Amino acid sequence: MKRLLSLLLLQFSFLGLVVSAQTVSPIIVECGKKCRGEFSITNNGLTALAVTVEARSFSLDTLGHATNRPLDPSVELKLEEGSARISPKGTHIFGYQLKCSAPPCSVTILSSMVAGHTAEGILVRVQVAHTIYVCEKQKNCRKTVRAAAGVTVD
Amino acid sequence: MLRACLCVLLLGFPVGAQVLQLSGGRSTLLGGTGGEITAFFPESTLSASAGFADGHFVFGASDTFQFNGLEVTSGDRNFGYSFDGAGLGVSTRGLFVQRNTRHTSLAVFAGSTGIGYATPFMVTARVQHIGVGLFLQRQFDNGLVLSSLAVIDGGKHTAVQGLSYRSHPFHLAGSGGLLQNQKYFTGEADYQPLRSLSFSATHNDFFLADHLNTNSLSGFAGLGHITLQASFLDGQYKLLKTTGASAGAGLRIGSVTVRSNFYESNHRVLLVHVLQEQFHRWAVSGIVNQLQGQTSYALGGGYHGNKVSVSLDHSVLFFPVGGKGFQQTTTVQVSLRIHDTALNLQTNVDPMMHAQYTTYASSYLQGPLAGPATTSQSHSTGGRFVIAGVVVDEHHQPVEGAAIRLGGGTVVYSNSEGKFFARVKRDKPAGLVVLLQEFATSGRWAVKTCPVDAVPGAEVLIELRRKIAP
Repeated sequence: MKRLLSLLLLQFSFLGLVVSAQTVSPIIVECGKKCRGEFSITNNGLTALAVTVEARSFSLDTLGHATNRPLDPSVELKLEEGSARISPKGTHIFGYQLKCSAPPCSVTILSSMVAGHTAEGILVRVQVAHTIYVCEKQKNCRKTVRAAAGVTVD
Repeated sequence: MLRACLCVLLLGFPVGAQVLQLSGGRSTLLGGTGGEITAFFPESTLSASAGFADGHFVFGASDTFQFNGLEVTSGDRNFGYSFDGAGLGVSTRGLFVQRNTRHTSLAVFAGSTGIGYATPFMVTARVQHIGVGLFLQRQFDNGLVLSSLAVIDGGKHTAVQGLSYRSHPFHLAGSGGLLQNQKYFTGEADYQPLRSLSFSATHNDFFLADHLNTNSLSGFAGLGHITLQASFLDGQYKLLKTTGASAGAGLRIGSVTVRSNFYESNHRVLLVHVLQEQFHRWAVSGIVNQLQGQTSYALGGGYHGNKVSVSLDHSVLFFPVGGKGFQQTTTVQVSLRIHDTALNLQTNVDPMMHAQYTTYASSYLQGPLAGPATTSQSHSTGGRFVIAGVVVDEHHQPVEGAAIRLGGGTVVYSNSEGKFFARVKRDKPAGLVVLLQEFATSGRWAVKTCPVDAVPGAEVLIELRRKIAP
């Protein structure tokens, strides 16, 4: 992760290569115990993108910073696809089904894609996250999870 | 001479282009047939369009580049701006210069103006006059925004001044002046005390051949699962006054939305009841229209997928001119995506059952400067059975971004743990091919071991060898 960040910093600070922003939507969803949802990745660039998706459970510290870990045993996630190729200016929808046997569950689906190469050939990989909060009741789930973690900032 | 230059440009510029975008189509709604080719270079964008519009051959070309912090376009470009309830768009051919900073937007053009044809597949102009233009907008930290637009388009003169002020919960905006030789004034006031409660009032005066004025007053409230809205509109043109009122309520429970709207204009009452269900990628709606004792039913809806999107929509629009008032229109849209090519078809049916359509295609080609790009199609088809595997290097470290083609042509990529999977419909072995040229990772690789095929339910292991360090 540190390597990726340093590459990104190097990319944006010094080399001046134009990297088109890629977007994920929605960023956050709230669910009841059984959740069927989807998110879309938009390739705003002019070349096709290979995207891989993988899921992580996460926990929050009191400042709201997330720490990712492998999926908890209480989370059963079925992704429709693990990867896709997105055309220039195209959008791809990833569907999933999620069950949480011990709510609340906090899951993030990371979409990873190669955004370009530097002039020196260093690969620039970008990750965007779709975050799912699962509770007994959908309403105010994110608020409940953040309050339980003692997050004091919004 | 100009056409010869255009032909040379069309034939010449794609040779070294980084990425090419090709578009073409036809529209009876927009009145044109033609195509466009755009070449994206690292430092500039070149574009050329040609076709027929309203029976005339039209063409256009432009070059857009950055120069000392300025965005410069030479050739065809639309000079169009809208602010504070008014706007103007002029098709230009000449030199356009724009600079945007945090607080200030400045744009100027000089050249010729004329009739423009801007469609999703072609942007051209038929120049007629000498023209110049200036747009300046300044945003202040206290929420005040001042805008000025001045355009000379042959014999048509525009000089518009706009002012808006936003201070929660109020937003006030107004503009006035000369809009293509016609005096006009427009004003708007919004009040939003809560995120789910807002009120708006607008007034417009256009001094055309006859005086056209419109007024509207509207309100919106959201109460949990319930939404309420109401609006009053009136317009007068050529001594014909058209009034309208609408009110509606909606209720949303889970994926189901129920909405009823009442429209009244010129003593005609239209009631529209809509039941809509959104499920995954499907949306279905049932519509009941009640107009002067007659009831009609309509079905709408759509599907939005990765390769295909289809939708059928009904909407009610207010037409202030001609005393039409509220009228219902129907729109059908179909979009297909095949590799890097998008195909679109849209049909509009107006209340008089006149159908008009727009159809166009757009595709991207990677040029020699674009570098390696993934070229295969990789959408898995979905299914009950899972083919999965893991890709590692000679040190048994996971390889991310490795491309593997499964039987049937589906291409998948390995994730940060080297894992890949695809859902298939049949429980039978699928062939495996490692696509070394398609890797979304750095370095050059060779295949050390790879099974001939993969069986659903059993994880396969693919071992690679790095040929050259990244």
